[in-house]
Amino acid sequence: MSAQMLTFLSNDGVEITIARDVAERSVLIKNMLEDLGDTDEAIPIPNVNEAVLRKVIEWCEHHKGDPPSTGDDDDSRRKTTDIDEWDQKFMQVDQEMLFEIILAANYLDIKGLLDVGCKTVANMIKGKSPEEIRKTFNIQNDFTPEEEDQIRRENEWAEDR
Amino acid sequence: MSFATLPSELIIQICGHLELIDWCALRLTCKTLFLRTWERFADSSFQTICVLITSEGLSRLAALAADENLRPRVKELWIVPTLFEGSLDKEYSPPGPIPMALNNSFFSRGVYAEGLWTDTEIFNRFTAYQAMVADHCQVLDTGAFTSALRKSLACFNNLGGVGLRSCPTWVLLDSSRPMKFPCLGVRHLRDQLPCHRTVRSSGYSERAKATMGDKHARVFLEVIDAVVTAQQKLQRLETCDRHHCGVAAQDLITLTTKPQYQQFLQLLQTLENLHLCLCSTGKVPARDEHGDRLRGILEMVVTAAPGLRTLTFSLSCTPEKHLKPQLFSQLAQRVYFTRLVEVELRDLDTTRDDLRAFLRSATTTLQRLSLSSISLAESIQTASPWNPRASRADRKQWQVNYRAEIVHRWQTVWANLYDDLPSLRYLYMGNLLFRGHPIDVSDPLWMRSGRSRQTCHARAVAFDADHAQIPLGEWIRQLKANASEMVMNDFLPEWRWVGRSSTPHFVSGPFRQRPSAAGRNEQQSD
Repeated sequence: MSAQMLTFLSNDGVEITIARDVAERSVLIKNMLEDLGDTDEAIPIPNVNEAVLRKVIEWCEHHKGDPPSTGDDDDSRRKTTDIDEWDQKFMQVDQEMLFEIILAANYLDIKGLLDVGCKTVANMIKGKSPEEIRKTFNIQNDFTPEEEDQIRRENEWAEDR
Repeated sequence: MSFATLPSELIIQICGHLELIDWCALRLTCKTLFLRTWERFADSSFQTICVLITSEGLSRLAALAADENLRPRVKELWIVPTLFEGSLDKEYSPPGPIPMALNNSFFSRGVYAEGLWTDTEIFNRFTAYQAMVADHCQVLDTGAFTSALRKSLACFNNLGGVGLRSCPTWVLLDSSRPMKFPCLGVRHLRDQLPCHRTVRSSGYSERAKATMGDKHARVFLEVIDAVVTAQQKLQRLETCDRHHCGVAAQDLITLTTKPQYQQFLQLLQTLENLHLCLCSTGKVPARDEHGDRLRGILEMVVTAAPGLRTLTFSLSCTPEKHLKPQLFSQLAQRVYFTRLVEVELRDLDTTRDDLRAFLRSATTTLQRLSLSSISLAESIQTASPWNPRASRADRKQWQVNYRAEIVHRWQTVWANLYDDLPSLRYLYMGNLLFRGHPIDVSDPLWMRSGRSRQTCHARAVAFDADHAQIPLGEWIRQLKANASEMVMNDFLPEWRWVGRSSTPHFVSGPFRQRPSAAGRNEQQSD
């Protein structure tokens, strides 16, 4: 029996057809389909453009057999930034695309993808000084010296452990 | 789209994958990222704080208390009452090899860490150690600690939890194992006594706990004083943590005679979590004239009981210095819980009836119960007295019956727990005793009991309904207990006659006799 196909409409007007089991990696879409029942019409995805949507679908297709997330991450699991090899390669995109994927994963409620996106950004921060982080993300330092001193003091208290 | 324009919830989610040091660096990049993560950072870093009693620790506490933004975030404040397990009086005149008395000791391991040091390094480390101890003692003795604590408590308006925490030397000096929350002053201490080698973890020795009891009581009194001065209503009060270092009960006696104590009790009416470990330092004989005054300390439990959700209670940290069993008996008759969910009882001498009485008001609410080092302090009356001249077979049988009765007593406790506590979902029993002598308990169905490896050592059994494959009643019924022959040694008259010590609190036989459930015809044998 062939898989049921669904069509989605990106916010820039492009229709993309994918298998239902792939689409259901998104909790938002899964719930929507449960509410609507079967539909032949294109389902609009208003917050995601074609390029990002295709990237998200690529991830969902690769991970369609993964067990569903339990959602009960403990602190140690959250702290880890280990990413499997395929996902690392998948996330080798420019920053603009990386943040768009994170936004889309959040909107579509795809926990695994959101997790990988957040870990990728965290890995770009790890081990860097504030100045190095600014360079990485093109951030302007807008603190006064006094404000910086105050934050350093807070940091020192927090790190006294 | 850039990092700083992501929604705050996503930025916080990313920060959740960062170590603290990286998050601190991120906060220093720009105002947007700083402001959007501030609330979460403040809550995760300053809700719970610990303080060392050192000049640096108190100075940081004062600075935090003066910070208008951060001080409302502080909800729990824990004081570390001792440094180096109270080994504050070690004498050593370096340079030169460490004296044998100090070498290979707990103290030596802590201060010098593992590994070999040169004479100069040892000299420097000992000098640094002495300076820290001198500072710690000075801060306590000059009233600087009292003053700083009072001022801080007055500033932390949202404080709900206060008490003592232990910071063992193997944690204090080892920066490779950071604590879960800030411990103000610890980094400065590590700078003074840098430790580039691993400090081996250990547990507090009973001796170390006994040494610390007085100091803990002294600091606990200061905490109570500050709480009363600030009129701070509490939800959580703890005398210690999982290390169960008690506060010396005798040192708290003077408190109970002051009007201030009544004010303190008033502030405990909102308490939800109480961790009270009392110990006997042996300075005042626990069973003598201060019985009434020691009872006064237990008013903390009686007053807080109706509102408590969790209770950890211990009456001694060292088996040979258990406080007298009547204390728990008196508490059991007076305590009244209305919503108690979790109880951990440790290091108590009690009877089946007193244990049952203690838990009677929590029967419908109690879900988790831990019994550690609980000794059944009951007399056993046998059908016939011990006769050393009886035949070998008769003597053997008498002993078998006696040991069977000991096992029966504990089995009755388990059966009572099952009958009385229908909401119970977790039960831990470790190091059970009868009149101070260990009882072996085995759990043939341990693989189906839902216990985790972490919670059970060799002399412990546990049931966890969330993971178990059998019901609690079935689990309890299959538990096996055995009173070893060693138990007999201290009870038999002939052993006493040759000078073997009996369990001290039984010599006076303080318990009234009650017929057992089986209606045994018992006669006095002790």
